[in-house]
This record gives sequence, C-alpha cells and structure tokens, in this order.
Amino acid sequence: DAIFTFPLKLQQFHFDNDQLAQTSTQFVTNFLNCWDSPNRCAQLLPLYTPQSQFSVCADTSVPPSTARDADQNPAFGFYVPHSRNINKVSSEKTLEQRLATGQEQIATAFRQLPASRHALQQDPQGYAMQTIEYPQVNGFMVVLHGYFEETAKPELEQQSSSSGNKYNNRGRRNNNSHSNNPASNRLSKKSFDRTWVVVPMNGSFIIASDILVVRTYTGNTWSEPAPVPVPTPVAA
Amino acid sequence: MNYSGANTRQQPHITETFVQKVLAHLDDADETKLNNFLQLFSGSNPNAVVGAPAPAPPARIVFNGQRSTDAMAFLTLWNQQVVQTQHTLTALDYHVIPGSGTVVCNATAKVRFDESGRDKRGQDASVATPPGSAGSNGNNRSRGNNNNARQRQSWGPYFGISMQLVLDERVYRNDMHGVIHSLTYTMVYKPEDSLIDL
Repeated sequence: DAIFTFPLKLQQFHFDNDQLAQTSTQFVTNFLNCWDSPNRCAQLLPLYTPQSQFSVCADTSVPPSTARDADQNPAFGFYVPHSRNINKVSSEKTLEQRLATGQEQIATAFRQLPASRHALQQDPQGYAMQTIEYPQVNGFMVVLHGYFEETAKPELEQQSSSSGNKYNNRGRRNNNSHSNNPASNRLSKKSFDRTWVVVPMNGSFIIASDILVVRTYTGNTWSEPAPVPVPTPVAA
Repeated sequence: MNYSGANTRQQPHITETFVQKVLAHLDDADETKLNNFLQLFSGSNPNAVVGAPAPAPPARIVFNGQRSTDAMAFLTLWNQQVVQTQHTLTALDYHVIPGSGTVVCNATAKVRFDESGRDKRGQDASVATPPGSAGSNGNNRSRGNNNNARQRQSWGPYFGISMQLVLDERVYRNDMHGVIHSLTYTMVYKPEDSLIDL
C-alpha cells in the first residue's frame, strides 16, 4: 500500500533525562504492583495527601474495526457511573462529586473500580510511557499507556440508581444504561492512559494528581503485532 | 478543590473549550494562523522586544514519544510535513494542582488524515502512491493519483490519540498567552487500512 510516513517516528518511551527514567520506571512498576494487589488501598494510600486528587474518565467510543484487536462490544458499566469525562458530563455538581480529593475519598474511588491485572513484566511491549519534568511542583509527570485485564468486580459495587445517589448520571449526554445493564458489567480487557503528577519526597513519592482514562481495548501503535504462526505442512 | 482566582463554575467549560481550540489549531491548514497557535505556548513570544522581561521557560512538547526542541519547530514541522488532519475529542478530564498555578488536562481523541495524496497546501507531495495501488484494498475512498482526490480531502480511518496538557491557571482568567507549559501527544491505536505509517 501507499504509505505516508510521519516525520516523527513513534517511540515507545520518552524520559526528559536518565534520572527521571530510573525514578519514574521504578514508581510505575511499584505502583501497578500495589494497584493489582488485593489490598490496593492499604498499599497506595500513603502516597496520597489531603490535597491529592484522583478521578477516572471513561472514553466509551469504539475504535474502528480495522484497529488491531479492537473490542467492538466494550463494557463500561463499572466506570461510567464514576466517570468524570467533561466531554460527556456537564453538571458541575456531578463533576465535583466525581473528583476524589484526599485519602478517604480516594480510597472509596479505588474500591469502586474492578480489580485488575497489568502485564508490565510479562509484556513490556504492551506499554508506552512519557515522563517529563514538572517544575511547578518540583516533581514530574508520568503518562502511561497500555492495557489491563479486569479480574474481579469492584469491592464497592454501584448501587441501583435511586434518588439521592450521589453518582446518578445527571449530565446532559450521559446514559444510565451503562450502569444498569448486566452485559455492560462483564469483566474484560481495557486499554488505558494514566497520568500521575508525582513529587519526590524523603526518599518516597507524593502523588499530587492521578487521572485514569479507561478506553476500549485495542492493540497499540508502538509494538508490532505478534507474528502469525505458519502452519506446518503435513506430509501426504 | 477551589483554586483562588479561578472561576470554578466555569472551569470545565473553559478547559473543554481550550482543548478544542488546541485540536482546531492542529487541524488548521492556514499557515498564516500559525502565530496564533504559537502564542499559546509558554516561552514562545514571536513579538518579543529588547528589554522585555525574561521569557518563561519554553514549553515541553513530546509528540509520539519524541521531544521537540521548541514550539516553533514543532508547529513548523506539523504544518509543513504532516497532511491535513481532523480531530474529534472523545474524553477529557482535568485537575487543578493546588499551590502550583497549573492545571493538568488529560484528553483522548480520534484523528483522521487526508489520504488523498496532497499536503496542506494542496501539493501532490506527501503521500507517495505506487502505481496500481489506488483502491487496491477494496474500499471506495479516493486515493493518490485519482483526479477527483485533487478537488477535496479524502479522509482515512480514525486513529486514537491520548493528549496531556499542563496549563497555566491563567487560562481561567481569559489569559491565553503562553499558558501551555507542556503538551504530550501519543497515537495509541492505528487502523490497519490507513496509508499512514507511524
């Protein structure tokens, strides 16, 4: 086929400097190990302060079927009731409620998300990362793109949408069918982009901001697809 | 989480409008508007005069994992070496970072490219179409040396992108000058029937 080649070739990793490469890789590896563990909250909450913020944002759009391994029937039922996607939710009150601030709210938000398994060690080709300095906080920003497998339903499941539920979808373009339809609550593989603003402190880290974007699963752009096995000819 | 000096009620709307503005600038083929886009980036003041205060540090731009030297270099490359694009925002979230005067935005969008074989100036230069390949994959999009394609764009299928912006909180006070401290833009999925190679 005819090809237009982008002037900037896509790179799997970018780090502003070698020190950040080491520090942020260590941070992400440890963070995801804890995130995937049964006691997610107990291990991670010490990294958050009373001013730290966390939110989840669901991008429910379906990629074209010609994108490699694209899930054409994605399930977002566990995320949409908590999603702070301002492209879909316009209610100021809802957006405020869906921004978790401080350890207590962040712990609740963590428990409302499915348990997961990332494959950082087993499949490093499945992840891309950019780390840049963030001088305004004397820290850095890490952006990780990749995928995870949902392994269990959330510890805190979304209650039915009764009146007074703070997570009712009252936004202009939101759709409650995501949270009420059992089919949309099945466990599956998801792609994600996660952005942390991290401040190194006393040999550890403080997370000032943590935004998790959950997307429909697709193969990525930065790694080659696995080779198709060539069938062995069978002797007549 | 209120930030002093910022109109918190309007923050979501302003954030979304600003991100849409950035995407619209990326889609704008008009070279004469490049300066308008450039002025949004920190440390980029094309009209700086001698004796003016020291400029802010230049914005960090990381496109598909590669760092650009500065905003001007990136925008020139984008304008001259990338074909016409069309972005559509699909998700956006943001946090105002207390005490830092900054805002982190995380956007996802889809983008498609003009695969007609012309660059932004309408020159037949960017896509090299080998003889006999037009329409060879069975779809009915106009390609390369098809004469009809010279009259209009021929949009390819959508790619997925993830974009992060670190903005100065002045953006909430209607001050857009130099508010982009950093921009990271990564293509996260690619349709296999596109002519674009990353």
